Formats: sequence, C-alpha cells, structure tokens
Amino acid sequence: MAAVAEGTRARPRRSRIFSHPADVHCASYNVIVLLCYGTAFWLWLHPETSGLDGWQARLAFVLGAGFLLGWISGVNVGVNFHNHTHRPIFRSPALGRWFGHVWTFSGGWPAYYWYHSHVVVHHANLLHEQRDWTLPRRRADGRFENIYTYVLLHWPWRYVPHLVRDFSLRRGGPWVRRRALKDGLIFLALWSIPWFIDPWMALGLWLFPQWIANGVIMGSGMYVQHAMSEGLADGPGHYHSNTFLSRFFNLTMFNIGYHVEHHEYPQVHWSALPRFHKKLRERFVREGVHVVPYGYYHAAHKCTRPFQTEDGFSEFVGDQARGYERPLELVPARRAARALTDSEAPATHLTG
Amino acid sequence: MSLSSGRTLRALGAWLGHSLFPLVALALIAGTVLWGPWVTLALAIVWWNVVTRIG
Repeated sequence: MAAVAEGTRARPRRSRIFSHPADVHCASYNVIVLLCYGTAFWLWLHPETSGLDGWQARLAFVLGAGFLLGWISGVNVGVNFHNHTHRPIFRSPALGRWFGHVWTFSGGWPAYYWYHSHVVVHHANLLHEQRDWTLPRRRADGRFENIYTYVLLHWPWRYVPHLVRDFSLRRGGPWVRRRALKDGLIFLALWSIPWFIDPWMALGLWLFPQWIANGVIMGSGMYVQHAMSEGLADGPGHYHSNTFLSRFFNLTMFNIGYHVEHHEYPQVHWSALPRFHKKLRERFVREGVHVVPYGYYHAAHKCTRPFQTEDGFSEFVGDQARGYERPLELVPARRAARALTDSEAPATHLTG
Repeated sequence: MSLSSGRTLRALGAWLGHSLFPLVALALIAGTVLWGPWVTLALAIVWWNVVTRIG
C-alpha cells in the first residue's frame, strides 16, 4: 500500500495540449483579440444597433476601437506570438504551425515572416548595424535615430525590401523560399477576408489597427528595449538591451520587460523570467546593466515627448532602478571623462 | 478556503492579469452599443494615458 501511495505522489501538473501550463494564457490572449475584431466588425456592419450611422460616428469608432485593436494586436504578435517562436506553446508541431497562422494575420504578418525577422535576423545578429535590420538605424555618434523616424518608417517600408531580399537569398536555410511562399499565401487568404466584406471597414478596423500594432506598439517597444546612451563596442557586456521591472507591465505583457535576460537566455520560459532575474540580479548590478523601475509604455512616453524627444531619450537612458546603481567606472559620464583624460581628445561616441 | 478554490482563484487572477488589455478592449468596444463611439474614443485615450504612466 505504501508503495502504491509513493507511486501516486503528486507530480507537477502537465497539460496534454500545451508545452507549459502557463501557455494557455498565450492562446487565450489570441482568442480574445480575435473576438475583439469580430465584435468591432459586427458593430460596424449593424449600424442600427450600434448607432454608427454617420461618418462622424464611424470616424470616432475607428479612432477609438481601431487604436485599441492595434494596441492588443501589437502585443499579441510582438510579445505573445513572440513567446511561441522561442518555445512553441503546443506539444503538437502541426497545431503550433496552424495556430501560428491565425495568430499573426490580425497583426498584419504571415507567421513565418515574423519568426524570420525576430529569430533569424534580430536575435542572431543583435544590434549588428547591417544584419539586424529590425532595429532603429544609428546616428553618427552611435545612438538610435529619433523614435518618431523609426515608428513612421520601419514598418512596412523598411521591412518589406529586407524580407524580399532575405527570402530571395534563402537567408535562414535552403527551404526558406518555399516556406515564405506558403505562409504568404495562407496569410493573404486570411488577411483579405475583411476587404471582401466591406473595404471601408477593412481600412478603418483592419489596416489602421495593423499600422498602430506595428508602427506604434511594436516599433516603440523595439526602440526602448535596446536604446542606449553609448557606443556598443565600448559598453560592458549587457548593454545590448534594457530590463524593465514594473510589476504591472510584466504581468500584462508576459514578462517581456526582462529583456536582457531574454536575449541572453531566449529558451527560458516567459513565466520563469521573474525568478530567473533574481538569480542574475547580482551580476547585473556588478556589470552595470540598464534596469529601470517602469515598463515600455512609460519609457516610450518619455522618448516621444513632443519637441523634447532628445531630452526624453537622455532621461530614459540615464534612469536606473533603485538597488541597481551602476558601479562608478561604468557610469557613462565617468567613462567619458576618463577617456578624455586618457587621450586628451573628445570621445564623441560617448558624449553625443 | 480549500486548496482547490485557492488554486482556482490564483488561476483566475493570472488569466485576468495576462489578458487585461484585450479584456478591457473588448469591454470598451462592445460598450459602444451602450455609450456611443465618442465615449469609446474618450475612454481609449484615458486608458492609454493611465497605462503610459503606470506601465
């Protein structure tokens, strides 16, 4: 009897569908996002019930609902599907592939195209000026371009030519062209549905949200994840990314704020990142990692202050969470002063 | 509180937390039927401003 009891000792719960029990939240998020689109479309198509019966009312609805749809779509692809690209959430690879198609089309992406941009391009070539074309371009002093320039230009204007070139050159593997063609066709079939139902609805509640998702939400997120004050070549080991500690932000954004941790150990499950951060904390303090007490939203809010983007940027890259103060030799101003003393010449890449 | 109800509450809390943004979006979009599109627009702006301050 004792042996039986020992044999049936409680084991950690395992899901038959999901790779990790917490991954149910990723799938659930996508289902609610699609429900939001369905609801918005229904209201647009039934003006007698919704009261959307004039162009002013429709414009207000597009601006309000369209912005909300774009916001959640940006998170759905840039954070949520992103988790799936690193660690597939389903046990079945086929289910993962097909769920992927209905995961990214509402964000304006074929699933494989986003995987390629993020894993093959961004993670494998992080901050390389030519090879990592997903990030903001650099100014002469090494800093990122202005956040507004990046938000307005990167999607789709810069992404599309890079994707075409990468797929033509089979970047990622010999099978890339076939996969890109297949995913592109599936995407077009799904993405075109709202255009057949009502082109004006598709423009306001489909294309506009996808610009918000990619330009505003994912664009500003990418910007603040990797924005830094000094030249990478001279920076300490972890200056490729920033870590954001806000609990509200990390709860609602699948712990994406632990971004230094994520880039160094992309196979760590998203739900384990807060515990993983605690393990790395001392090392981060010692190495002067940029850690801030808020999340991306507040960071982007600082960097996008109208007519004060440079001040906001400087404020953001200078912020440091309490308890994570950098060792003096790693403080940018100290390093600049030391470089000046050593060489008796201005260190423009540090002082810009 | 029993162990299972505690687990259920934690799971519900985690779901509400992780899905907060799409749930709020769903409520605001569906609520257009009750309060009209201008209020939806105003609430979206207020919600965005709240989040950019706390997140």
